Amino acid sequence: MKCSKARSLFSAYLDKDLTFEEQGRLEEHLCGCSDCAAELGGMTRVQSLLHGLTPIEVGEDFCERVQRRVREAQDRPETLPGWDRGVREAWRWWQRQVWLRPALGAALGLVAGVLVGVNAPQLAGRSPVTTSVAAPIVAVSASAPTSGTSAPAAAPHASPFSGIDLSNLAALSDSARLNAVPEYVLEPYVTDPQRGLVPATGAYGRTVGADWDDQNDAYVTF
Amino acid sequence: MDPEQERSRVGLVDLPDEDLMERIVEGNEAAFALLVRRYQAKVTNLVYRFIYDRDRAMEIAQEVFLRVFLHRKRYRRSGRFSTWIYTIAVNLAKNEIRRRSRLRGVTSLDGLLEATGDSSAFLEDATPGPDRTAQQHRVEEAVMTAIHRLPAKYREVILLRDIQQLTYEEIEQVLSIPGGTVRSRINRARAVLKRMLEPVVERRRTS
Repeated sequence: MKCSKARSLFSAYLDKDLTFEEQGRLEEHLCGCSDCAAELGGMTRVQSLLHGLTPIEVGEDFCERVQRRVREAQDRPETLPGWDRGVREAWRWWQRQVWLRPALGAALGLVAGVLVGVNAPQLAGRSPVTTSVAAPIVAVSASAPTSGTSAPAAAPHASPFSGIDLSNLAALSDSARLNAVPEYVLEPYVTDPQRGLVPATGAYGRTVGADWDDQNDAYVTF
Repeated sequence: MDPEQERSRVGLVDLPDEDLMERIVEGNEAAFALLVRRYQAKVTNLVYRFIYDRDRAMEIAQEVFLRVFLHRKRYRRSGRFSTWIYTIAVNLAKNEIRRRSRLRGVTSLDGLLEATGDSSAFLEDATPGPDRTAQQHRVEEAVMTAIHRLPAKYREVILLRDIQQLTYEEIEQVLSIPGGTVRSRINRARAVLKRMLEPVVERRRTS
């Protein structure tokens, strides 16, 4: 065995990782080669030095420190999974926006003020739905009851307002019907004498409103 | 610790690491505390040998356990827990070494070797304890400095093999390198370390 081959086996020899045959050949070489024997002796002593290093002591509170860090980490957004992390990160970003928050608040207030100002005349001029209609838009069937809770079977669509013949309304064109409808009946909710506030769902596919018809003493939808 | 926790802890003591990890995934805090106590000294010393900074080693060791907990669901039972936690520890230690521009508190190796004197007492009685002499401490410092002078690829294998006493197969898994590479690096690392510490080992030889 050459010295180079022998030295490549030193580490495995120290770790008892050689086959019986390899070990025998190496020991045979060491008996006749003082340089390799000295080299192996030096490596053995280095290994002893490494094994003899004093371990550092870990403090008694090590485990408690770890557990504290775990608790802290669980409260940090970056350790949270999924959408929760995104929400918390967004909230943390928002909290950092010292100047943006009052500015955005002021902008929202301005927009709200403008909207209220624009709609104020309409709100002031709006009549209650019980106000009489200048001209009835829909002819109420003479046979229909003036009050009731169930729609006639012949009605093309279910309506919250029973006993009303809507066939005439269906005959009108959209533009004619919309032109005929006063502004106030475009409210999404109307007051039904029997049912209180109800959605102004229309009867023939497109709802525009409903009102009380004083002349016919009936409730009509448009 | 209340009686309920104490009963829970006693039932866990005999479990292998891998079973403890299953309990931790289920939310058992006592299992996690037990696992920390099992590995706190090993992990802290491994990191300390890597970075040679006691305080920082403590912090990094805590970080290792923190990551074990946070990534507990990623652990796969097919591998040993010890290799998993050592992998985390080695990676964090390497990151720390990369982060540092230079090693702190390390003096000249030649100066340390000159100061070690006769190391025979250290070599013959390597038992750790408070009665170790100042000369023995100097030898340890020289050894640690020599370890840190090793190239990283040799340092990591020598620490895992000769300090942590991992098998070759475990080192393969921790470092994700082939077994032949592990063997050749360990052999090379020991030879280089022996040359660096020649004055210490030669004094021992001639004394």
